[in-house]
Amino acid sequence: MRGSRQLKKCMAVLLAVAVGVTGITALPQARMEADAMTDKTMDEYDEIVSTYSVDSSVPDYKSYVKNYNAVYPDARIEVEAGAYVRYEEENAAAEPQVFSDYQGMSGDSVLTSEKAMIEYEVNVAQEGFYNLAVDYFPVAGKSSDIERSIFVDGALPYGEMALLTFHRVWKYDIVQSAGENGSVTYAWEKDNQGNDCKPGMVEAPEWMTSYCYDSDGYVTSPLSLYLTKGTHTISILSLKEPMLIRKLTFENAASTKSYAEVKAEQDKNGAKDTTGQLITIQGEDATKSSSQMLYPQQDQSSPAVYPSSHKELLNNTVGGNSWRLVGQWIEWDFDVAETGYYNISLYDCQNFVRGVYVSRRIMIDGIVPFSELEDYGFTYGQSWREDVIGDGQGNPYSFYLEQGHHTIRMEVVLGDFSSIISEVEDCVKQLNNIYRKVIKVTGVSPDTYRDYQIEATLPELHNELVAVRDQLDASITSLRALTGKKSDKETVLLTMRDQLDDLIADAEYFVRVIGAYKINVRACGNWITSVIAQPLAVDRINIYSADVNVKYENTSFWSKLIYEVKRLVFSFIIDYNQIGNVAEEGTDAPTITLWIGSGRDQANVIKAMIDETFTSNYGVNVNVQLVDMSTLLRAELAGEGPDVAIQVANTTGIAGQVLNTGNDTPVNYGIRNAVLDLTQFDDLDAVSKRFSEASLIPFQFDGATYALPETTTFPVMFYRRDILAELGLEVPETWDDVKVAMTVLAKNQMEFGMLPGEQTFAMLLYQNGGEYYTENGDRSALDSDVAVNVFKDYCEFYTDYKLDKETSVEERFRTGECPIIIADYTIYNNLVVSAPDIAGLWDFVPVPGTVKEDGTVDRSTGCTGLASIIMANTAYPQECWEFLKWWTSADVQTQYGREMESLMGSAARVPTANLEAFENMPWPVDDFRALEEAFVWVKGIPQVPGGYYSWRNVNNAFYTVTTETNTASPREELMDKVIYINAEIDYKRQELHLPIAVN
Amino acid sequence: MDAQISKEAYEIAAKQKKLGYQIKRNKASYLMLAPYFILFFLFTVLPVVISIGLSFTYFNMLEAPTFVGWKNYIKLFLEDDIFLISLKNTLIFAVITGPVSYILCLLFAWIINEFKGKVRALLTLIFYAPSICGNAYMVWNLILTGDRYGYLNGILLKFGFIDEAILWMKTEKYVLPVLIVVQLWLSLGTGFLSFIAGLQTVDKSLYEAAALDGIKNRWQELWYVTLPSMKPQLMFGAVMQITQSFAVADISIQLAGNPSVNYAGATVVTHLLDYGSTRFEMGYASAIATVLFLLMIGTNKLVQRILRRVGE
Repeated sequence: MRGSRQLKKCMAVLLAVAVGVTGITALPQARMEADAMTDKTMDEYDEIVSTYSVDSSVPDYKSYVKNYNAVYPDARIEVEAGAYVRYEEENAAAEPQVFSDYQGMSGDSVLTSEKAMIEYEVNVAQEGFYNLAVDYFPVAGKSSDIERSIFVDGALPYGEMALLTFHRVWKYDIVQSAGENGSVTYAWEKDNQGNDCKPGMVEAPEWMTSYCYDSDGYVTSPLSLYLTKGTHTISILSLKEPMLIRKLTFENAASTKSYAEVKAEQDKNGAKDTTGQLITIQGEDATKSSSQMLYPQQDQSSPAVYPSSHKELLNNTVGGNSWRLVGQWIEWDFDVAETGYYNISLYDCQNFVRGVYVSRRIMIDGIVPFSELEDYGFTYGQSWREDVIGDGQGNPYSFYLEQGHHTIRMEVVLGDFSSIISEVEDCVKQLNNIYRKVIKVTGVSPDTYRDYQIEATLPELHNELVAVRDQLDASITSLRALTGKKSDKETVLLTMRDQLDDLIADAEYFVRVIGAYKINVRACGNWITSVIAQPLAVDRINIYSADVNVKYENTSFWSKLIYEVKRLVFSFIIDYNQIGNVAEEGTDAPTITLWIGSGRDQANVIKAMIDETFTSNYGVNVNVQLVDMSTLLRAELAGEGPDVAIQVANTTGIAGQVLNTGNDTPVNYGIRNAVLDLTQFDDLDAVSKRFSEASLIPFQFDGATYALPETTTFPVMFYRRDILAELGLEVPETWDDVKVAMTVLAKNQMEFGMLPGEQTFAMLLYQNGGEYYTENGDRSALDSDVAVNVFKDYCEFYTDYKLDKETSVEERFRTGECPIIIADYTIYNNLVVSAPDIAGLWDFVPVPGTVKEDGTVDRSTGCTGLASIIMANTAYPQECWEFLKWWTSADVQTQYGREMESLMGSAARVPTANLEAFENMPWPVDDFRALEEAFVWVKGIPQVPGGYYSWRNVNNAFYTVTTETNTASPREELMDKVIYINAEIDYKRQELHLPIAVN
Repeated sequence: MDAQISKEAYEIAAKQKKLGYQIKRNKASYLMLAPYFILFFLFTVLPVVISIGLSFTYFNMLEAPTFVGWKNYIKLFLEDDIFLISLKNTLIFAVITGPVSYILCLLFAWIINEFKGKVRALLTLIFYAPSICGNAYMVWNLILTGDRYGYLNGILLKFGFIDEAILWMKTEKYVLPVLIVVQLWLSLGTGFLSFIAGLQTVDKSLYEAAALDGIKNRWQELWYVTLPSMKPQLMFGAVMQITQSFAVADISIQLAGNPSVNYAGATVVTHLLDYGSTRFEMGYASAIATVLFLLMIGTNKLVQRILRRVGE
């Protein structure tokens, strides 16, 4: 049913595109002679990419394939990159850079920039499905994966084509030397505590040929395009990163034979077992990989891992949690001395995901030897163990290897779970749709005594519930078939299905369980995130003759016990606060102490960077200590403070609180002479240019600058494309639009999401031209007319429009209760990483603005962020300053950002304050533009002595107004509080011997 | 002769009176006392003395303190509105939670003491549990969440008592009562344990003797026999309870925030912390601490006097 309806829609759209866009009438075949260049602009393509997820005329791959006859011609069509018919950059025709014979690839290759679109025409002689392979070279960019969309004849053939990922190639940045058995090996650098340093990752670009794969991994085979006979246009739109293209190839990938077939064939050719061969490759000795996250790991969980130490951290394994994303691969080299059959075993650990197994595609010399290795599963186990690659019945597979050099590559695939996951994801989308439909009738907290007549109001609900229930049930059945038994993984799905059964029996039951329903849907969403991850840690790979018995040492209980006892003893000796090299006492070079306020991973990365580029270039030793920043004051009091502190948050020291109130530490410490005034350094002005002016303002007072900003974050507006389209709502541009939107949302029992807070108030205040303080900061400016009116508006959002003051907006955004929210831009990363159920359904823009008298729209927002400070009692001010300059420089911030991302994924994207580094962060091009636009409007909230009193009192006034709506008037409440604010400012200025304002 | 002897005896007696001699003679006892005394002096007496000293200075913790005389105290009593609010809150707290929880402790201890063996141990554990597991009151954050997903709001909405979620910890009039309830829930602490211990040390023969002397009911038994025999424990419990209710701060900070909305949940200690950390005024904070210290000592004296009357 659904398929055919979509088929019709799809055909209709294709036809419309054909008629409307190319101006050619009749059927696609008629376009044969035509110039196969589309006249869609880049913006129009962008629009398609950003709306396909809510456009029901774009099918998904599965239904796309069903629409056509399964014809797989064995023709092979090559399109040279130089034969492009159109190239545009930023919406204007441009000339691409063409390289000839680049890096050993003969012929012309074309560089497509990260903001480009290129079109090719392809002549198809035989109608049918074709896989598209791209020959590309990952030229240097922002070090993230390359992302492209591909269109056929100006239209998106199916959703999966909107986001295609092409990997880069990475290797460790230390010298590879030849190890035994032909594998590479590394001499790890050590810090002076004896720990191995993690090597940095550098790109090792090479020419690659890659089919187009589903970037979600739900479709495991290469994607195919159905091409009719005639000329077609292929448009490739850049989403992220530049890419050098050599050619496009349309062909059908040969299907891999099964093990039995391959084995029989090789037996027939006279292949024999080898004897006595054993080739061991250490996991950490990988030659190259697809991602900078795949650096060696330092495992201390078992003495059986090689090499192992109870004291030092040694690079001894690879993979683990960082090797979990679909498409990531690692490759090892090895030499074979004797031609014949070998077995392969891994010493590995998969104690990450229970209940399901993780899959790898195993390739030897770039080819999957037999179909069983397309997705080979690794089940859950408590600890490190030997996995012999075999059929699961105890019979190892025999791999035929010729004498000579080989590579083995393992790539993360979703394997058999892919279809289940995509089914469940589909279910979650439908369940969320149902939720929104129901709350339109009942609201989010229905009155249980009322009869809402849900069945009468939503007649289609019953069938939808049955459909999604059946789909979910089918997924559970196939999950059970795969895992072989009941597992805890399926409980969330079972709970959801059981609840659906109840709801199918009586839709009115929704009224009682709407909250639980929402929680269950959320659980299903999280289920997807958890099973999509495919982590596997590898210690070593053994390639051995069948008659060799591979031995593992230290696997006994006793050796484990001894190991753990030793580790326990050493835990009393090792100082975990000290990170990396510790400078020795009495050396000539100056030594400064650095405090880092965030986490251990951050500290490790920073220390490695310091050793690598700072100490060697400036001759200054840096002792890095990982410290809870709330102890900074006490440490200073005791004279035990650092020389430099970075990632400094509020006085309370809680990093998260920076978002709620401004960062007051630098100014508060500075005016009490505990932090160096940076204006004493001549080049401060030059250094300040690195940041937006606004981000420095909170750290300046009375002509002094007490800190350099490290991060800058500000609110933006996120919105749900699908829901706004459903409601026919435009994205609000101004606050007047927002008020209209709020009424529309309220009518549909939804809400505008905006929590009260300093950022929200500051945004409204600055947009209306208000200020926090008078010119020199000795008086509060909140008693001005503008401020009072803004405060009234601010309160009205929560009194008249009754916005929620407490519940996290991020949560409500995900369920769709709040399709528009105002939130800090860093939430972007959380949504990208942890909300796959709404992937592609949302976007963000700068916050709504206020219309000025001259008709322009002011979109100002406040901003806040972490700071880097130099303590006043340092013995080496100049060296500290050099350090701060180094740390906040574009190169270092960029490197830090990338390393953090490589370590923890894009959820850890650093909101750096350095403008140049900000540009270098791997944002998708469109999202970066939205942020860039918003950045222009950012304003800083000044900090003055006694300034903490401002927000505290505004907040007090706010809660009085909103909780005592009958008696309290915003104007009076605010004016009352301003008296307190001014008194505190006077008091503090007196204390600090500053002139007091005359009234 | 007599005079000489008496003079010698006098000298010896005088010598024996001297501390040095006493210490020498009882050196084992002093030696055993020393660790505790040193620690007590270093970590309790010294800080109190320093704090009293600092209360006469301006001290922002980053620069050396400067002497300002009574200025901090003058500001504290004459200018600081918020101190008065916090003092009021603290007193309300102390007056309500102190006696109520003291009596509750005693009552529960008495009831539980009626059980035998393992049941008693189990019940003791159950009642004592909230105060062992440090931040147990964090569950109240869930209960009191200010949106419709908070448990309390959820229940009240469900049964139709309210039609709109209440921001419990952001609405002035609810903050203090809610904090008192949470504090009471938490208060079966050390005092409770010492009562149970005390009840078990009462000499059984006293009950028999009292029965012979004509005790009529359990209440009389409690008042005339049990309580007088466990006076030390009662004293200890009272001191603990008073210090606890005067020093209440964590609950207020965790549930209502510091500063709480319009200082509705401010206590003397939260006020002190506000000055000590956010406002960089350790001298002033010390003055607050000194006042609190005196307040506690005064109340303790008062309570001791009342407790002396037990059993009369």
